[in-house]
Amino acid sequence: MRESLLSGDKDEARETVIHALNKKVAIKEILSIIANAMDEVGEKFQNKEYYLTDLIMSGAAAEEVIGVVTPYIKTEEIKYTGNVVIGTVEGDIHDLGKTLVIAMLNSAGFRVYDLGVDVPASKYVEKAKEVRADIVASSALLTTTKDRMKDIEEELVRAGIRDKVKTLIGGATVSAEYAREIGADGYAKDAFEAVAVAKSLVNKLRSKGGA
Amino acid sequence: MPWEYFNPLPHLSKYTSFEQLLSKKDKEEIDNLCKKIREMWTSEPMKPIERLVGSIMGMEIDRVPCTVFGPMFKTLREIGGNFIDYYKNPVLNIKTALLTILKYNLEVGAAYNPIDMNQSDVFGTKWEFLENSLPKVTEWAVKEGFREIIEKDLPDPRKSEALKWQIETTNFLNKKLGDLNSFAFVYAVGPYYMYNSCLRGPKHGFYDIKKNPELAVKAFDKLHDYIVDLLRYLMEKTNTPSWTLVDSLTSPSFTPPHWYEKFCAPYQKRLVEDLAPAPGTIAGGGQGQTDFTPLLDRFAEMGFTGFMFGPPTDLRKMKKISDEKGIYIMHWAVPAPMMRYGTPQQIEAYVKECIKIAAPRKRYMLGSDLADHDTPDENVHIIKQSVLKYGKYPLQFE
Repeated sequence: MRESLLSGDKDEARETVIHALNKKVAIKEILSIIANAMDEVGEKFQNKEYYLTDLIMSGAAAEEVIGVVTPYIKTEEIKYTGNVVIGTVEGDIHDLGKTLVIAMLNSAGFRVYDLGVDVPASKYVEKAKEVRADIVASSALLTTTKDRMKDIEEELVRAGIRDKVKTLIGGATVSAEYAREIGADGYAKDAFEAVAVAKSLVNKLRSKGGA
Repeated sequence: MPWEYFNPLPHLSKYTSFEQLLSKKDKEEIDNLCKKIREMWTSEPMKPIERLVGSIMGMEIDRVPCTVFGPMFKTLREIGGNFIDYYKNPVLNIKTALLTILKYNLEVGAAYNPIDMNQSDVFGTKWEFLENSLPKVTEWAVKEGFREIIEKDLPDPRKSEALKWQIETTNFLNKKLGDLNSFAFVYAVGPYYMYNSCLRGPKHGFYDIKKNPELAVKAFDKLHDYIVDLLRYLMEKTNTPSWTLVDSLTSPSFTPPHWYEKFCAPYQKRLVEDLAPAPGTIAGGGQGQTDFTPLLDRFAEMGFTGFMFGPPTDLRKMKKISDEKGIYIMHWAVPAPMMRYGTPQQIEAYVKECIKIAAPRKRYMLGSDLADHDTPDENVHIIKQSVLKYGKYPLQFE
């Protein structure tokens, strides 16, 4: 499974995970293999051994495998790192970056609720309340749509849950500077940084006795 | 099974020319805008087209040509337009383009460009228009993989409704202002780009290539011929002197080198060769803030006569190759974050430095990355003002 994830072979990855499930390999072990493989993908990308094309394919393979495994996961068996509600902001339909972030967050043990693309601010808040999210993550690739991230901040304040969640933004048109400007708690430049930032945000939230 | 044609602009089907779309009021408004632009473009010693062509050829010119990319989205918002109208209504699109040229004193015009629809509508990729965003693909034309391209007869690009309106608006603007400027094309092409971005989608597209590299080559060979046919037709219909062929997917951070050499470079080279008899410049370019420095020598070898890149691609290296091989540089110099967050003083200093590095011996046009709708106006205006201050020949640095 590790090889198929590293090479981004989603068909092979699917076959190997089904084989592993049939052989009664523990879910925890399967999830650990996925997490380690995706960590390796991240390292290879940072070392410039891998390209964005590789990330997209490995991300798609991880997504495939997690899709097969998810129905078998018993919540009491797994201790999630945190709950993340994620989406591409209203007016923006790009989903490649978000898909990679989801694959990485899943692999890192987060429980991720994907709202899809073109998501209004109110939907983020609704879902965050429903699943008691630790993090609300939003992505924007268009310069014309990044203002919607500010709407999410305002909507969380209006709903009275801004201090119960951390917000994380990413996408080609935003920056750490923009995150500060709109009051977001974190910014990640790529899917791998998103995992590190998400872990740090959850730690901050827990240490102050939040959600 | 033939390709299922998808017409993204059915409301325009009954019209055959751009003029037919114009009401009396539209005509007056557009004439008035063109008159003002004409005054603006004739207020300096050289017309924009003379300056641009002179710069491309390395001839004597009065100053560095300059334009900012993308403030049309600022204008669109200011006039209360939305993206649905912008893409579905060529009249609004042209008015927005003209108002933007006037407001920001731009020197390079852009005609109606319905992004990738004009390459994929005849194949049946389906699009949906959104109020606050670019058109969205709702269904890809290629469902299974390369065999569809290899086994089916490809459609006729001339039947593209989106292409028709691109040609119509370009010719309209060239008729109005073509003696002063050229409404040039920036065109995202290449079989690798077309398959992954217009016909199949990147997630499945990349996987298809990985699984069947030899089939990919066969399919790309066929798509290449289709693209050449499409571009020759556009060139013939619009008589456009300068072309920029962009493929953002070939960025060295995006595509592994062995894929680039097998699936991208051969077609880029063939494209330049096949289009060589066409007049003017064919520039190779890349979108986004990605570093094309490792590929600059390859682009030069392939016979591109222009570079169109921005930071972090190394300007000094572009300049070195430009000097050695006579390649023209269209530089997307000022990055979007600098325009959005920088001060006018920072932008002025940056523009001055770019001119100092690249403008001696001409063959350099200074532009910018996409100007966000929230980029302060003064940060857009300072770019042109700085070019007027530091970019007049002979340069004060020479």
